[in-house]
Amino acid sequence: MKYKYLFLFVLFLGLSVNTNAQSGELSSVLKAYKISFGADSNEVATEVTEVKPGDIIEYRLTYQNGTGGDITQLMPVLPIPPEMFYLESTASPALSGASVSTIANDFRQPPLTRQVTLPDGSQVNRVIPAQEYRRLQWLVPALAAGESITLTARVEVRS
Amino acid sequence: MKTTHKLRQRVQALFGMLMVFAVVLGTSSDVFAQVPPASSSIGNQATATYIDNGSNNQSVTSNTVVTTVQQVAGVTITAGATKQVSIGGQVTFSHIITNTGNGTDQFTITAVDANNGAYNFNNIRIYPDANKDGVADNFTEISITPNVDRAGLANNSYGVVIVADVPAGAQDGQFEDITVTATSKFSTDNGGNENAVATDKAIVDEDAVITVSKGVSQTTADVGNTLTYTISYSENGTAAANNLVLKDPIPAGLTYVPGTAVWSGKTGFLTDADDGNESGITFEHITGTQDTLSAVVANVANGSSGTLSFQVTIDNGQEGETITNTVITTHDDIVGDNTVNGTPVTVNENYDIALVDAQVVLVDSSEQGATVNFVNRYVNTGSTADTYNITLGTDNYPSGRQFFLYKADANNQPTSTYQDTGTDGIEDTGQIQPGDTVVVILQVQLPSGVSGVGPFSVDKTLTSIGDPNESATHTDRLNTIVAPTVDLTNNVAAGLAGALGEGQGPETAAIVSQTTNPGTTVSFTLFVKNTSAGQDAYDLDFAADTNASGALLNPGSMPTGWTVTFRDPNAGNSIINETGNLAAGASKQITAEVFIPAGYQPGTQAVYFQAFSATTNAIDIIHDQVVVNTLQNMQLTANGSGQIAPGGSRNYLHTLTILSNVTENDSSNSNLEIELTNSKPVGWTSNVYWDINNNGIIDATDSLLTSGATAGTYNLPEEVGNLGFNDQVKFIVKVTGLAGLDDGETNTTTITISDNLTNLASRSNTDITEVQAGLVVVEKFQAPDAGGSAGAFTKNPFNVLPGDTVYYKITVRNDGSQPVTTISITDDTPSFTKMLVAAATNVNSGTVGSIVITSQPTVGATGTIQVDIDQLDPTEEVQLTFAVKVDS
Repeated sequence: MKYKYLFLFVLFLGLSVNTNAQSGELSSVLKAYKISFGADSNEVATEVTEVKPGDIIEYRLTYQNGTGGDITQLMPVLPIPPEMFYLESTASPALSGASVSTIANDFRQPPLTRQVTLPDGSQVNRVIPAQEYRRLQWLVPALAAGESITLTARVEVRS
Repeated sequence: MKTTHKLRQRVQALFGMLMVFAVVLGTSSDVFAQVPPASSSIGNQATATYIDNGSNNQSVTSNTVVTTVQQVAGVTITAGATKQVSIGGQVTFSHIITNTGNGTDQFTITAVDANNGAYNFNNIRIYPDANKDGVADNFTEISITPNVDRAGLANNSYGVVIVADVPAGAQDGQFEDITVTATSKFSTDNGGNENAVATDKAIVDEDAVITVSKGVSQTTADVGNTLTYTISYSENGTAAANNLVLKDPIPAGLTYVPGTAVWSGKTGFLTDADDGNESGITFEHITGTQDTLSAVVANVANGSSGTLSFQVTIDNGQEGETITNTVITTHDDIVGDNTVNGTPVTVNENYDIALVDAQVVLVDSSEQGATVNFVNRYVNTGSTADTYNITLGTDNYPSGRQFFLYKADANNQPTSTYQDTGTDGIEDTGQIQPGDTVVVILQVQLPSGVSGVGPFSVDKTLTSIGDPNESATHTDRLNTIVAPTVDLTNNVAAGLAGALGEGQGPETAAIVSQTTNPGTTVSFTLFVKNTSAGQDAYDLDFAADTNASGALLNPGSMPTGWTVTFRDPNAGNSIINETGNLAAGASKQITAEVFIPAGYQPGTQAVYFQAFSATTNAIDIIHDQVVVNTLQNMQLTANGSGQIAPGGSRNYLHTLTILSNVTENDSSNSNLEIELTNSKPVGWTSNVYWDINNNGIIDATDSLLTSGATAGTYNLPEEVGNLGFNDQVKFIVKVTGLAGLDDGETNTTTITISDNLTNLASRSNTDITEVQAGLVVVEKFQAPDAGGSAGAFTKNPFNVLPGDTVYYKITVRNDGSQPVTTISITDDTPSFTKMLVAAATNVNSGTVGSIVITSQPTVGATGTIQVDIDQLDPTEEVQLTFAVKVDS
């Protein structure tokens, strides 16, 4: 636990920590980038620690297999903070699952739907807006020793 | 901030519809999610599961990436109004400025003549209206508001009152506008210009001028509260007003309380039906899609005033909303309607929390030292996002317990501990959206070494930070803390087929019995199994007995000479005295070697083995035993040989050693006899003596037992008596050859000790005596080390330790009457020794021609030393010396 505090402390100082150097582990590094458009209308991604309401943020989640062996069935889960909402179809690679719950193990492949009872009593399936997703899930079938993979998804800060 | 504004408008406009859909769809927290406050932190942390190359399920947690929300500005202002004013009169407008930004802000206010109409206001002033009742708080002009809270907080708006003077030169029907602008100071401070604009209109009216305002009994209220609205009107013009219409649409969120309307012109309540019963007023409660109160006052005298009041209740689901009730007025002297806003009422948020599961979360039993997780689920039953402080009450868990508050993953397993996300130093849940469930796991680390029957309880309370009066409490209860156990078994681990001695010992009867001879070692196969829920380690111990309470008696001790050694057969049979750590359910094989000393009496000896954890006090003892056989044996040493000159004699020493573990020569177990025979009955005599004083020499007191010339066996003298283990009896055989014997003739004398009860095998030694004209006498001496050189040489034994040095001296002397030629002397380095000092020779007496050391081991090695002498004349003596070092 002490190590964890230390790690956070280092993070707040803005120092970089080379987690790849930790052999024997699957390292997991999460970073936040602000997506904006330059003068040439090209998209620019800048790593940020400050955001404004309405900002588009891209979370980049990198796994580096330092375990020394091949791993399989890597299933990362990225929560969407309550102050943000997910932007539909921005996940790369495509999501294997999503959940509108912050805790339940009910991941299903997007688009998610739910049954709605209409005023006349009939029931229909309606697509749940991606903005209501609270957690995203990917499936990486295999990650060979030494390989790394970066998963991204974009969110918007509520305004 | 325009998006915020739009969102709020949309939310408000669609509110009624949402109320319908909310029931059907379920509340979507997204719809109510608010803009994050400035300077708040948004933390995020990813988790992942995977399968490693050993097919093990693993998980990994990323760093927490934290982004801090920056401030953005936003402002709205309530719409302007149109008012009638008399020539030279004064007109008053009220506005409410709302901070829709996400941080505290101030707003500069300007109110300027818009120059849209035909006259110019003489003077336009701005006064504060902090309580937003439409009436200036004081008459000190302001140009900027004080700090106004951010969006999402209760005090996120501020009222102002605009007062303007109409010039005396204005004419009936003319109008002029006032442009009111509220601008965010944060915005202008940061190079922006976030503002909101409203336009007020004042129309000059020479006729009746009715001023209407609308107040309310309270500006903040809870759902279900009853509010009293009071519409005040006054005629400030030059004539009476006729047919003053006061039309009050009851806004969504409020419900009119029937029969509560009161008019200042009448005593008692107005009737809601349009029954024409009231004089001077027509009042009706019109029900429909939107309830409306409609009143028409027939006449308002010049300069007079009056009020109309009524009561409403606040509907459910209005938490956090700000409700403005308007009144629409007109009268005969004006064209069109005027809308006057009532004082806004802010409905307090409802903070609440409830338990999801039963109040008492019960775990029936757990082992001491174990970790117990209590999963407590709470739900935010309030109307808004809330944060809950987590506190634990007093508890009666055993001293030394530790409590940790953990977050839970999707499977309700603990992940990371809760921290204080605020500044009060109390751990909290962080923000929980309404309707969301928060799981708080109380992890109890029970102290090792304490068990007992509870129940042990602690209350865990989540208290709303929004309203500290709202809390919910789970009781986390553990009924019993059981002591950890260990099972010590024979042959295989407990729980497997063939395990002996399962369960708590010591057993009354021996589990495994091993039969053996004294002087041997027997092995017991033991298994120590950790039958507890947590890792543990066990000390190994033994004893020959247990006390009345079943504990080892004199642990670590056995009868004299016995030893018990624990070994690890899976680690090269290394000696161990503890098991090392064993995971829950794991077992370890131990070999217990029990050595029974030679000579130990026959019978049964119990051996109790024990495994004991000093950490948890888990203990088990197993009862095994060793049965020691009766062993009868004896030894007679040693065979002898020597030369004698014709007519000479020689003595041979023989030692009888008893090796039995029972008493011998007691006429019961055995009765010892002695016999002496010569191979050559002619020319040789032999006699055997009992060396009573054990000095190896025939003394006058030594007892003659028998002679080789006498056939038959003879009992040992009665004085020899009973003989126990290791007891010795020395005999000396004296062999004499007659003077006429030929050179080279030999005689073999046999000494035999036998048991006439035949329990002991007979033992014999032979002494071979040769007649030699030239008689070489070889004698060997040994000496201990004395400061790096030989001490006193002796034929007697002395004790050495590993690493000690022993010096040897061998003398070769011709005691015969004729020269002896071609003499070769050989000797070996003794067992367990190495050559230390190389062999050396010396002529002690005479003049010996050639002495050659033909072979010897190098220093540090073992082997044979050989010395060849070409000729040794009578009385000449040669000496050989060397030294060895005892192995260490």
